[in-house]
Amino acid sequence: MEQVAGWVAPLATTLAAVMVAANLGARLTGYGFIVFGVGSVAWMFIGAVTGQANLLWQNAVLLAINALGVWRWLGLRARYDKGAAAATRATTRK
Amino acid sequence: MTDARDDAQMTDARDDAQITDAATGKATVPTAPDAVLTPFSLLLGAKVSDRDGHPIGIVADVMMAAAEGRIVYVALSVGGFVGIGERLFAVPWACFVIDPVGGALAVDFASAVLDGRDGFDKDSWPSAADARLAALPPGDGLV
Repeated sequence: MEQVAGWVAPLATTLAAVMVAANLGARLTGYGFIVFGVGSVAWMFIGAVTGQANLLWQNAVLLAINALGVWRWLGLRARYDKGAAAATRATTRK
Repeated sequence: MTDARDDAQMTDARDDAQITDAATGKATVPTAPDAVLTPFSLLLGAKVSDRDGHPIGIVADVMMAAAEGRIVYVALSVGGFVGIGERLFAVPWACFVIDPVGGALAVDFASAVLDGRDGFDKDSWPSAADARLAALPPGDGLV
């Protein structure tokens, strides 16, 4: 399990960084924060089993920040997009 | 600073000059060679002040009549934290004063105008700007 986490953590963090940095739209950026979250959980696991409290707590904080990112891009932004699309549909029918 | 209400009047005056493609019926936007150009991205997420310079909210999004090349309203997010507890208002573009170079945005009414008012439904944005805000008299009736 520790070996799996040892691969998942850096791979997920790298992939997430690419997804967010690429700025390919709100939805993909939101998914990027989910992948960041997976990485954080893996890093926390590694921190816990290897006795690295700093790694554990740093990634606990990052996990909370990633949750904010998910809300910001998949929750709030998606709701904005849905509401704006309703206005577009309403005015298209005119 | 450019008063958007002046811009609106100028837009009306330019309507005659606007060309409509006879074949497609699509409006083509005047190139406005003398206009100060501002990147649209400067508006999204921009902080907005009221007429007294007090922070009032941020731009959640901008709704435009794309074929006519004009902004109809700004979805202004007021209050809350990262969207939680916020209210959204469809503020007419004509209410805005913008620094086209620095991008500073302000509305020409006091933030108190929005006190006690409900924002629009976040799941179904309006198809027009908030008529109450569009009808505010000069000085918005507040001291």
